[in-house]
Amino acid sequence: MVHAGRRVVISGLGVVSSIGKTVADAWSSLENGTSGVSEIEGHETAKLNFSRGGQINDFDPYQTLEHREITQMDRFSQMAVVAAQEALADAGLSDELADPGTGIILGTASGGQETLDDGFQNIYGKNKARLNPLTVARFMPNAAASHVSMKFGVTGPSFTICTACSSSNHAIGQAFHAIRAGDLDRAVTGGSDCPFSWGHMIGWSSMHVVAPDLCRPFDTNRNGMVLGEGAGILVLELETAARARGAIIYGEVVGFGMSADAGSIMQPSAEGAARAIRGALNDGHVEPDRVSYINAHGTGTRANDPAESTAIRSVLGDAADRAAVSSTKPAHGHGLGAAGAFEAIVSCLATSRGVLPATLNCEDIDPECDLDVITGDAREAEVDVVLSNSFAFGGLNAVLAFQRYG
Amino acid sequence: MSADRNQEELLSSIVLILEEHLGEEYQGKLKRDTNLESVDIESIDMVEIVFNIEDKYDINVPLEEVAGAVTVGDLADRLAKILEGQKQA
Repeated sequence: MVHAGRRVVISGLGVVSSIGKTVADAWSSLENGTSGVSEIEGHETAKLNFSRGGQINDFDPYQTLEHREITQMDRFSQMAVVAAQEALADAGLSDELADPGTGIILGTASGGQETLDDGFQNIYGKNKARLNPLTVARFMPNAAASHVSMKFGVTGPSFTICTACSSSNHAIGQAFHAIRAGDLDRAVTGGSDCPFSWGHMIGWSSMHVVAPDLCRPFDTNRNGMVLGEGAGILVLELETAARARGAIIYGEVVGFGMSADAGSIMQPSAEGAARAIRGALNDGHVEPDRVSYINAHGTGTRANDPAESTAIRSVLGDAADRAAVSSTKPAHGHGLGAAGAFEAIVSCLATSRGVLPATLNCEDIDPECDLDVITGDAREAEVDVVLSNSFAFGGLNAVLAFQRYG
Repeated sequence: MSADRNQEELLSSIVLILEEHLGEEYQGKLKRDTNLESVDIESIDMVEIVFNIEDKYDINVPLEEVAGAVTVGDLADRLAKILEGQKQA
């Protein structure tokens, strides 16, 4: 379907991540090949089968938020609000936020995990009969969207999408479609997740999908993913409005594709992923040979990387030879509900700056991952269209397509 | 004398709980006659403050018995009555 006249651009970015608590710092880390993954602190990781993660140990919400705001929020909401602050300041929006055409669509895989974990420790570990009265208000997955609405006075359509590792991509995609269709004029979108609570980590350890050492996407010796926490927020708006007020435009969102595998709750499907990739290209009327770079889902698990490679090949065909691919998850960790947002920000900056980040720790590309995987140093390139893939547990897939603006 | 000291200790405890709830900028600023509304304590704050008091003293505080407290001292007095009542029970 052609949506004449309503082009959607990205005019603001904000991030809180283990590679940087601002967009400038995070991008600098990616350009330099610096990873934010380190030994997890505050937990007895000897009881787990992993010990490293993209934890943000020096995150201080007091630098941005008031005490009484902070006490109402779980960590995942705090990070979302701090990232939203950066994104909205970057976009230069203020009065527009109260306009009914401004909405918030955020993603999260697990909401307020720390609050939930504290609560369970109190109930089951200490036999307490009562919890802090704000427990539910802190852990509910919509809390981050609510706090962004409250902090910035956004009264338009606002909600949260929960699709595991695809949450942010689904959120950004829905925001894009809503603006294109005229349901919104602008959106604060992205996602957040903070998985480093004890119970949550035991769950991940029990699945045996987290790498005991390094995350090596597409590498022959890859042996799992690495968890990461944080928030990524993007401001999407009508291209005409952004241009009229002289906003910085990082890129244009041109396509969004979704699919469900209808297969396994844990194993990915190349066919399902391919349908989402094809969907994004079709939605944007983008020919495969315009794809310059793909920010892969690239978790580094045995299952994902070859399935994703097959999916990319099956859609792009020979054009896959000319589409550089990398996974930035070894740098910032797998942000779960924030992953798509992290990677959309990377995709925007790759597009506007013509620099493609490398896949850290990938030294020996698996022949089953028959793609131009960027290893070693970041690569300069002229970028036209970028795809950003997210393929979640439960087979829910979401792919975004961005193109260079101007 | 002992009852007065208990009252003073209770007041100090409550002031500490209030300061923790309100943040650093309120440290040392709350007195017996401080009006709770003047430090922006709303009903949701009272629910949380009462929870912390219940936790500290291992008592049950019916919210309606403290919801009408006007000052810090008023809150302390109402809690003293509740504590006394639960001790005798």
